[in-house]
Amino acid sequence: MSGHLSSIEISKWLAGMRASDAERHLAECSGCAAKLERAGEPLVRFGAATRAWCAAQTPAPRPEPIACAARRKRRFVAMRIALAAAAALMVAAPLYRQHQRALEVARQDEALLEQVQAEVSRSAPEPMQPLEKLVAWNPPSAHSGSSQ
Amino acid sequence: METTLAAGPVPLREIATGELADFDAVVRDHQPAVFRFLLSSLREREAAENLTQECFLRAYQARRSFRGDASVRTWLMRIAVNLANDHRKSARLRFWRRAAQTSLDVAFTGDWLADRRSSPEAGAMAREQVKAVWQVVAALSERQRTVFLLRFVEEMEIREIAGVLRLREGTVKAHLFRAVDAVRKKAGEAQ
Repeated sequence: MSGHLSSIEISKWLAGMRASDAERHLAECSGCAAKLERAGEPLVRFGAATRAWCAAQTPAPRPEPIACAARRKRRFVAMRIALAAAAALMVAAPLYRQHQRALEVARQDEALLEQVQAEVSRSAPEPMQPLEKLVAWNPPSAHSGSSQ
Repeated sequence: METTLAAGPVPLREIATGELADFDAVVRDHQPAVFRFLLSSLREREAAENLTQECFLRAYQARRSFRGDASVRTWLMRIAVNLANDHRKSARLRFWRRAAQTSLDVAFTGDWLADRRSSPEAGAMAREQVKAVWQVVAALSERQRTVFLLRFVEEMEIREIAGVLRLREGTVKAHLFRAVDAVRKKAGEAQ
């Protein structure tokens, strides 16, 4: 290593990027060692102050064991699932009934249409159907017509 | 009871058995560190409290899947980091809206310095430094901030941070270098 530690090299050292030549230089150069210590001071102070601040904010220890909390959470989750299922049922039931009604109406419509179709497809009205049996309705073919 | 960060990990067999008393010991030993990380990371006391509780609930529910690849602290911190990230994603707008207000609170962390300096000027300067560092930390990317807090507040080793964040050690160092360099520039101005 040619000279003293640069600012970048000090930052690297503090970040854990510790080159062996920098380590050798620090062992020999008290100036750079002091510079490094000064550079690390704000970081050490920051850590200490933050730990102290957080310690003052730390909540009181939990009164219940974690297993109880876990069971309570499971119950809560199960209750939420049950409530969601009930809500889904409440929404789905009217929809299902509506769907069933629509199917029933469609079935009735279909039956009516079939009935109408049957009525329409008859060659004579129902009251005249006995007469129809008496009359042989054989329309003359073109061939038999020409022979007469 | 304040637990030191140097406290060793709870023996894995205690976790594996899932015995209630043992897990309560895990909570007792690690709750301060998890809460501290979440509070310093989110700067919302209520969220930090809720997520600390959630962290231990998740750990308890997943305790049987804990294989001991990492220490209990690394495992818990990994859960805490994920919870903090999820919280930020779900409340990103609210977080940034409140950041300006809460940054005022954290600026006072300097008042918590147990500074034994005789000179009031030196104490004031130290407080200013802490405030300046907080300002830079607030402006860091989420990843850089997390790495920085784990290193300088939780005093984790680089390898442990890499384990928490599932990053390579070199990547952790690169994030840390950027954060430290930014902090040093700002803190230098405050001196």
